[in-house]
Amino acid sequence: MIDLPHSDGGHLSLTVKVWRQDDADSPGAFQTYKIDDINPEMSFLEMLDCLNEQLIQEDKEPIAFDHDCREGICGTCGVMINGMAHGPLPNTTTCQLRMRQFKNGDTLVLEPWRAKGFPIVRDLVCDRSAFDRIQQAGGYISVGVGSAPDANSVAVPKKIADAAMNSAACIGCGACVASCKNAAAHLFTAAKVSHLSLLPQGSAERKDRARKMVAQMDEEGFGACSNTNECQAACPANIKVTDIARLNREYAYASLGTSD
Amino acid sequence: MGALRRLLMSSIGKKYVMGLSGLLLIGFVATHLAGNLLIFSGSEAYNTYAAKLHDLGALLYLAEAGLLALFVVHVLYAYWLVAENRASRGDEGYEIGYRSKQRTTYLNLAPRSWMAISGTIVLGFLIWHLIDMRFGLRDNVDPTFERYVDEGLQSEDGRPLFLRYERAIQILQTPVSFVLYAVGSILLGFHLSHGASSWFRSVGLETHGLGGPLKKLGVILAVVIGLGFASIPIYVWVAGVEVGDLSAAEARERARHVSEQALNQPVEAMTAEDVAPAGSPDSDAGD
Repeated sequence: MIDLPHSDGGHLSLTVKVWRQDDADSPGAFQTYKIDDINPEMSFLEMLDCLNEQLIQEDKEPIAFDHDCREGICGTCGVMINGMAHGPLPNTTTCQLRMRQFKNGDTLVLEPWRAKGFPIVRDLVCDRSAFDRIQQAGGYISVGVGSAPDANSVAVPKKIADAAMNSAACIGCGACVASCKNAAAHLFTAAKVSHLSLLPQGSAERKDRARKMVAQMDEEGFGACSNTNECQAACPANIKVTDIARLNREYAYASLGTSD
Repeated sequence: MGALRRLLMSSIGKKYVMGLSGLLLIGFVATHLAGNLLIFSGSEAYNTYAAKLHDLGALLYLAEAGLLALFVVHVLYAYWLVAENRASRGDEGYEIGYRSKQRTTYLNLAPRSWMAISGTIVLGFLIWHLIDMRFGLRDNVDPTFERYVDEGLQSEDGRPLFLRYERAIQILQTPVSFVLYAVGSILLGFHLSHGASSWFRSVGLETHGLGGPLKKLGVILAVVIGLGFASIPIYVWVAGVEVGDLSAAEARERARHVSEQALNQPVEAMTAEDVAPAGSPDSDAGD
């Protein structure tokens, strides 16, 4: 898909240009660091760990960056690497990116997600609680659906189940917002709306859900969708822009009729 | 009313407005192109079409008012969205710019990435085009029709009879027109190559598997419209189409012919000698 450089297996010496910012109110700036002896099998976050150890030994403040599971499922990590959310590989989180994707002597420019809805907390860490608030606005099922039904007693066609599952794969990392020129959160919101509204349990509240989640999304200061598909290209969970079409459809349906 | 207002103020609702107004404008642009291509058939076909169109009278003004409203809505919503989207991105841009991870994007030059810029250029061209062709305000072009109007070339209700073909050719013959009309047309094509399919998703009609074919159809439509319009100034320039310097008598004769044929309407203020004697070519045309 993308022409990727590969290291020759030898250890790497890199120049890393990192955005450093004390807090949301302080001005930030780039700092440039040199790091040697990077094993190409390391993950990107392990490289940052090494760089931080080096900074601590030099009695400097380590770089703050978000991370948790380090296996691509939690959605916590996320760095803009050379202008690309989660780096150059498709369908990959930052923690899944290996240093073999880079060449000896490369310069890496690392920045936090930049969006009005994601204020910077420190260095590469931004506050993504806007996503939580969008989720809380309607990304749930509150009607009583009883205890776990017998297997196959609620019929869901395979195609629908697959589509809902694909949308449920969203890990809420924010790469869609980071890579959108409008900092729009439509792919995230669309994935959540699609996941729930496709299923019988979620369809009871689909109108309220679409209306409330979109209202919250707008409230948080995210932009509008220009259909450029950059979010889809940056998404580590392979969420498709057809979900955005579904969100637009759900929203029209929710707006034109009466509420649930 | 509250629900409608909420809908039209939301980020998704604004895109419904953009998509639907854009769709209607595509309908206009396609119709406009179909009419304009008659220029290839020459003076008589084009002038007849123009005369019939302008004979719609109040209906035409109504259509023009509707079009104006569509353009105003489309443009105002576009700039409103651009302003909001810029604000959403925040003050701090990415150091080395955003790099697309899409295979199809070359240097971020894909039409979808600069709709506001292509739209603004098309808007500028549109204003120029209206000044030229709708209002006839460009004075470096010989306003043929006005000279003839002064000489009494009017229809019965006093409207001037324009020789639209001759006038269009004269306007397009100037080098500045050639460049502006060709560039404006191609930029319109660029704008539509995203817009013609993007609206499907904006209004929620795109479904799985439909995106690719819709995109292709949109690009084909955009190429047809862009090159279709651009072909007119290129044709006038490359083929060296001339209308010659019509004398008042020739112009009057031509206008009378069109008027009689298209509208079955005699031209007022003709001198006695001008009224065609029996056996003139025009008496056949009216049959």
